[in-house]
Amino acid sequence: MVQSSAIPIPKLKEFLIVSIQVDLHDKMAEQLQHDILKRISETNAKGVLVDISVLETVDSFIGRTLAETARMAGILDAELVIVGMPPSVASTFVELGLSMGGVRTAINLDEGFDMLEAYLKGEIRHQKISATEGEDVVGDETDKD
Amino acid sequence: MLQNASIPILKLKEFLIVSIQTDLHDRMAEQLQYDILHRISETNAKGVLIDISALEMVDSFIGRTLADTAKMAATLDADIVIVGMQPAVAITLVELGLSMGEVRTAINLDEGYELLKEELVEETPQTDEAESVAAEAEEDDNGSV
Repeated sequence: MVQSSAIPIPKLKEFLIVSIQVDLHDKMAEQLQHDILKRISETNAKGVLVDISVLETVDSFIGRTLAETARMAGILDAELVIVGMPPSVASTFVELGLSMGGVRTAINLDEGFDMLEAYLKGEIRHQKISATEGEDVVGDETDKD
Repeated sequence: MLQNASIPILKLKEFLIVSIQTDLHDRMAEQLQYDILHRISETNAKGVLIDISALEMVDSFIGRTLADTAKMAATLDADIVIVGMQPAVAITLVELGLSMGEVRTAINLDEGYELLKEELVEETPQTDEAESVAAEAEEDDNGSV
């Protein structure tokens, strides 16, 4: 039985942790977006960590919804970081020409948490997420090899 | 199949975070126990936070498995805290006379994290702190003279 976005959003210090463990269908992704924004405003969270380490696929809709959520969260003054993206998801994304609009990513939860703490201390600037697909990202300083 | 059903175990600083979002069947509970213990030994984690806020019921087997896991983790020098238990689950556990052993619980992830952090501070030898306090006291004495 599928519950409507039964994905819990616990708070840890100033941040929310969202662990996505089921393949999201479109309705669920929208529900999750709504839930995340609601929790941000309830808890005054300064950041959101979205863990997708067990997802085997992320389609264009989910990708776009996550990017949108990051922008909406940004308006609520919360920084969203996607953590634990599997290599296969990253390669599919690029091969299909999909874009996440430059949402900040980290290799795992631990790194993402450090990134958010650095952001809170003002060591990293607020991320700018492009509105349209495929546009180059401005202000993304996360270095990747 | 089993891969798909596995529950991610995230590391955050010295602790592991496990968010259980599906109703566990017995096989899965055993797999989770195995995974948690392995991750503890891999990562030298000092504590494990198990979030069961999305679970609407916890049967006797799951309860016992969690309690066993806590004991096993303790022998690996890691504390387990169960967080976010729903009222209905607490009611059912007590009414059915089930016991979770002496597993520690916390109302939410944030409180559980604080609990583990306090434990960690208590466990570490406090000689440094005592010394610095003594040194400060000495300084104060010098200052007043």
